[in-house]
Amino acid sequence: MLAHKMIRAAFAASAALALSVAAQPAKAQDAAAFYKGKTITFITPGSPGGGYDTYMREIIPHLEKKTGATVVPVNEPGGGHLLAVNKTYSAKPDGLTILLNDGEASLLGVVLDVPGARYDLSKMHWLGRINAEKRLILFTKSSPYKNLKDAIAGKTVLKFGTTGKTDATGLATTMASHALGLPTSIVTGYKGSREFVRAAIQGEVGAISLSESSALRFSKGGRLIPAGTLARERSALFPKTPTVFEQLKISKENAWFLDFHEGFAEIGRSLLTGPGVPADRVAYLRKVFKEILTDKAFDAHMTQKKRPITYADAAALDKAAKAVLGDLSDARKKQVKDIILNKYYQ
Amino acid sequence: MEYFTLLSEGFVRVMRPDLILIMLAAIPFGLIFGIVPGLSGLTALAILLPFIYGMDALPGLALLLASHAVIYTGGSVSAIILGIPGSPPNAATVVDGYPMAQQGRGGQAMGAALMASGLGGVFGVLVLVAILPVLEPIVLSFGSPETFFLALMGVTFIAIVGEGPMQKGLIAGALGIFLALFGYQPTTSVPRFHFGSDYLLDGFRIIPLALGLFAVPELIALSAKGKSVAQTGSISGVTFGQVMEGCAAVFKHWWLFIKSSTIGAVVGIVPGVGGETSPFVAYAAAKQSSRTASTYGQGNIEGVIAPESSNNAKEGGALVPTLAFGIPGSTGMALLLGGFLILGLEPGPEFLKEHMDLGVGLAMVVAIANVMAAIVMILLAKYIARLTYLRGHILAPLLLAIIVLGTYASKNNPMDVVYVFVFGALGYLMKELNYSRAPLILGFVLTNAIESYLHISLRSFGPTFFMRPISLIIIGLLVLGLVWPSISRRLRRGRGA
Repeated sequence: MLAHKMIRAAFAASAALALSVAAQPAKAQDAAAFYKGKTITFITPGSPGGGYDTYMREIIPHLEKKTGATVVPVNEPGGGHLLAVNKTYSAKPDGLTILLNDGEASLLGVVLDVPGARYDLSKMHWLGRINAEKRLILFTKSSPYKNLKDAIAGKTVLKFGTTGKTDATGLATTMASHALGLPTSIVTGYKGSREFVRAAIQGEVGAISLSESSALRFSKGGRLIPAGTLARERSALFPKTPTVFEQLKISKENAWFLDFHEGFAEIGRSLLTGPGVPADRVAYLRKVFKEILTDKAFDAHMTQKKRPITYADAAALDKAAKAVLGDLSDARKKQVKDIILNKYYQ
Repeated sequence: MEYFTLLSEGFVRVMRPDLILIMLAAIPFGLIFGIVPGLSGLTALAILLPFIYGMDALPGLALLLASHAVIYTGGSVSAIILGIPGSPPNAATVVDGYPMAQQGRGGQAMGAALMASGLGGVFGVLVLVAILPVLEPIVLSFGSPETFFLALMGVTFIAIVGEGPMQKGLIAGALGIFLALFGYQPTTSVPRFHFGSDYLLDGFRIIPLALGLFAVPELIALSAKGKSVAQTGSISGVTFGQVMEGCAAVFKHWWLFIKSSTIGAVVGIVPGVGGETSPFVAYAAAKQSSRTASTYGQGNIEGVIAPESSNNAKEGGALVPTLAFGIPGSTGMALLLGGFLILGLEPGPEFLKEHMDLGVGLAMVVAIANVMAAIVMILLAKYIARLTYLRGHILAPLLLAIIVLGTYASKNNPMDVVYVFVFGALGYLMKELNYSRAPLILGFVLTNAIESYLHISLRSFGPTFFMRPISLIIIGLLVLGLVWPSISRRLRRGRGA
């Protein structure tokens, strides 16, 4: 009798396992069938013609081909790049709204409790990363210092130019200044990186922080001098420029701020969909984006357009986001907010 | 000599059949977007941008530039015949252009506006071409302090721009400054007066503001009276002769044309002041130095020539920082910059060394597009003016639908449409109480630049930030502009005595 029961239970268990294994591709097929003929709204916080917009429009034909859906591009700049996140967060949870996200802005919105940030990143689904860039500190010709060591030892104020307090340029400058002990004063209000590069060349400011591709573009002709990479590893575009960790002895406490900043940069230009989207559709979208973003021909095409792809999967993004937001105690959050918003604007 | 060879090569390069065809397609597109209120040059560029993926550099950029360069040419026509600016910068043209139309001089106003636009565009290109080899030092000589003083100079014109008493102009300008303070503060990123609304985080937008202030009051008047624009005024049929008479007026006022175009080109060259400012500054400068200043706002043709020549000239100027540094000199240029990047080009100091021929080619595209657009519009002016014969109860709903669609299309945001009506109520009140609306727009467009660049100048250079040669020259001009009217009055009185 017992043996009979055991055989029945074993049979039931194997049938359930067989069913669940068979259900996986069936679900994936369901998700693939769901997207055929549908309309996907692809949102980006970038304005037409900018970096985000270019990435989005280059991806769209491939996304349409792979899913069989019609993809409508939507530029939703505004609110410091947060309105696009709000819109995706509150969209119908059917997997038909995708966001090309500004990782730094969306994480900063949470850390700084920025008005207008009406989303919970932990409930959203990462789909993959398109591109992430390391940041560098660059000195100008008129800077009072020629290298980071001199600047740290110096007494003359080092003026940095940034676009805003609560964006990537402000974050990199404040975190690096605090961790390295630079005598920084920040001049903010420039309308974009190009404008503070102009200001740097004119001598209005003595230093700036730029993403590696912008740094490469603007440092041509020796106008700007790369002083250090704000990361644990060197930039592939600046193999001769040592990282700040290589150049200086940085305490564990101060290194935390540099790693914290690198965590933001790690998220980069990433893809998200809103909360409540069925798991099979999320898995399907992840698979589709992985295929597009790891395709060699697409990678070569984008590199030629000076818009490189540095793909990372959803698990890596989840880990990076948790590294930034998960370990942040209230006291640390208060300290970080004070450094970002007040310390260098006296 | 080498430079002139480069110029002639650039011209030959542009005169290719395929490029001419692209321009011929782009120009009507730009003109229609200019004429239709709400559909600005930015919308036109945003729509055209996806089409340039995969195109070669010059044809792709020619498509964008040719349509963008003629937007204000089209916008001047709606400003004159309907009293509704096609694009926000055309608001300065409404002040004298619309009264001219109501006095039966619409043909002359259109002729003057179109000729000033076309030649102004060419003037801007001549300035660009003349300084092309030395773009970098010129752009570099204008830093944040100089941008601040130029914007401040614009603010001093608030009291002069527009019709009606000066005190009311100042109040309207102050209201414009106040409205510009909503949303993120440009240097601290702290949002002001947003009342928890996502829309207000970015502040009020120029298109709903300009259309609300100028279009809604006209629509109310048209609907209330039920008559056509022509019947409410004394518009007679616009003839080709009248249009040509208007064209000739630009040559008669050649000095005003040169002065206004120069203002346009300079404002365009200095990134940060904002291209929208130039027609208002040109209008105010014309009024300030005119012998017939008292008739400004009542249909003075000078009040049409000045803003329209500067409007188109600024686009040539705005190409200067765009090519030299990749810093857009106007909002349209910001989108054009996106076009460069899509085509794999990176404007900046190195760009001009490698692609000077492309820079010359683009300048030629702007010049040719301006001339072609002016010719097309001069030939069509007579027919477009017939819109003014549509009865109010037909024209008003038609215009309302176009305005709502145009405003929505600019950002795909329904709240923009709501604000057209909010500002429409304000515009109606201002019109009824005899407050000029142009100073409000001028105050609105300059506030952001003043706030940002004063902050940057103080942080970078301290309280003595004005002790720089070009800053001091601008301060001198600013003071001269303020005291010149009273000096010239005294001089005239002295001569009279």
